[in-house]
Amino acid sequence: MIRFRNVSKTYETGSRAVKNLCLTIDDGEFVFIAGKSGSGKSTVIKLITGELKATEGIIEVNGTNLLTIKKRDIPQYRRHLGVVFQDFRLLNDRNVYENIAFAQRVIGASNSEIKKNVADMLRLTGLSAKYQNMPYELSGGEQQRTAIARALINRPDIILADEPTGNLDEQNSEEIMKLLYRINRMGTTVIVVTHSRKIIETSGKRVIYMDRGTIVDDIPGEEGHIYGMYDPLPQEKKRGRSRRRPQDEDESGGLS
Amino acid sequence: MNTFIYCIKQGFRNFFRNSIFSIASVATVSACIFLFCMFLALAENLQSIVRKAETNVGITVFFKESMTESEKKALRERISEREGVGEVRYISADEAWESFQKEYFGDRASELSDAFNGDNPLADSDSFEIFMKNIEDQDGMVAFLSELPEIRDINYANTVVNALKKVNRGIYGLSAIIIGILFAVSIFLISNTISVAAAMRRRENEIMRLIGATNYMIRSPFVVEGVIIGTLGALIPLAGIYYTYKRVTEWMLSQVSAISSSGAFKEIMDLIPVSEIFPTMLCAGLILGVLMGFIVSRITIRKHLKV
Ligand SMILES: Nc1ncnc2c1ncn2[C@@H]1O[C@H](COP(=O)(O)OP(=O)(O)OP(=O)(O)O)[C@@H](O)[C@H]1O
Ligand SMILES: [Mg+2]
Repeated sequence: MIRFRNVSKTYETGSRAVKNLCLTIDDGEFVFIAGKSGSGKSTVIKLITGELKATEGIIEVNGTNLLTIKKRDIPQYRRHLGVVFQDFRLLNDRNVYENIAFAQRVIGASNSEIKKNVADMLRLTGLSAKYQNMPYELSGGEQQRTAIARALINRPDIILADEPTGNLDEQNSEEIMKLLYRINRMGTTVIVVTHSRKIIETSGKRVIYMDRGTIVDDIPGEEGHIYGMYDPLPQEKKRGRSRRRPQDEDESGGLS
Repeated sequence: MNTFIYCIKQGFRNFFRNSIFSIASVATVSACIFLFCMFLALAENLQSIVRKAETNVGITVFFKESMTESEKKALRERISEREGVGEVRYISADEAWESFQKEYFGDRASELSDAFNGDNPLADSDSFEIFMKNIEDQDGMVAFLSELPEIRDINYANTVVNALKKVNRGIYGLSAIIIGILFAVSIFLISNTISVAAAMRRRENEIMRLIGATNYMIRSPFVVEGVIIGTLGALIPLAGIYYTYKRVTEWMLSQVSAISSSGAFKEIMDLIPVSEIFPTMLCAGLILGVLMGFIVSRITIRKHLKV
């Protein structure tokens, strides 16, 4: 469980990126964070990863208090998180296999474990045929899937994805989202920052809207709505999902 | 264990990826350690020469003409009883003459002897030669001897030894300055190399950090790189020194033999053999290189990769 209690973050420059934020995300949830550029979305993600320390308030992640965590405990804490970025952040001098294996090497896994786990991840992300390719030999979607495989290989409790589809075309975006939904169905909490109205509207997931450092809306997900944009939702329904009005569940909730 | 091996691999990877800087660092460290070992060899040899000169010469004591055999014997007893005295040797006038001829005229000693018609120009020059166990006690001994009324004259190698010691000190000072400068350059270059490596791996380090790598894991490849630089920077010049030193000793031997085939001069000028001096150099050079690489890279990387 992730809990923000009256969290504020002011950068050294004086810019107040997050103001008095209260937020709870339960285990196994799928949450979008949306909002205008500069509204503090990435800051929230960085607060969760421990890259940034809150100026005020308390952040608790799976029982760890990030205000009081010791520096030397941060690496251990981060191993329970998986992070994915808009720009993939792959190691350009290593192939897909090594990029995914990298996360396991960091935690000191043995070669045989690595071999097995990477193979699992390659299968999950559909990259089995490309494991020897270098990042520049991959499409954007494939690169992002590699990044997701890397984020996932240590079996984190939470996946944090900051605009994972920001650099991808529609088809690749769909594939990435599908993968993230799937990961969520396997029990992992997934938090996705996105600008894509389409992705949000068709997902049926919880959406947190931010503006100038505060949460202006928190729309709960639709029960049983799992496949998001792949569900044959009627057009009216999609348009019906609007900001500032929590969705009333109705009979059209998609079933898997 | 897996992590440790991984870090070492990454260290090598760093080293080769950063090859121009790595080579420059290794070259400077090499130069530094080469000179260090050279000066070490020089200093060791000079010291050994001083030591040999000191022990070889000893203190020579000449007696008043009036002294009888038994008085000489009694004096010898008295000297021997003193603390720190290693050996008291009686040199008769004949022996003194013979060894003088040998030392200064070598093979042509017999010609010289003929010139003197067998007379001993050193008659009455019988003496004690006193060797101290510890050369530092020599001055005290000299002071004691000069108080004795039976003694006419005292010779000891004060001037030679002092001159050698002065040269020694000069060389120490000069080498300390040169080595100091080279060390500073080496440290600067290693530090630079590690900085460049850190800059090249910044992205990788950020990713590592986000994945949950410990500081140890992020930093140790750079320390490994530093140690590689230090080790290579030591091994290369050590190999060079081994060969050079061996050549120099051989050359010196041939030169000295050409001047005089025997005697104190040759013994003194014999260099310490390579087999004796090299282990010291190997240890000193390796420790120096490895420690320098380790410490400099550690400090540099700590500064660069703050959490
Ligand atoms: N390192 C930083 N130093 C100072 N100010 C920063 C820093 N990072 C972000 N900010 C400021 O904090 C505010 C929130 O930034 P943040 O990156 O969280 O926005 P965002 O919602 O992720 O925007 P975008 O959608 O463009 O990625 C902005 O006003 C930004 O200028
Ligand atoms: Mg952002």
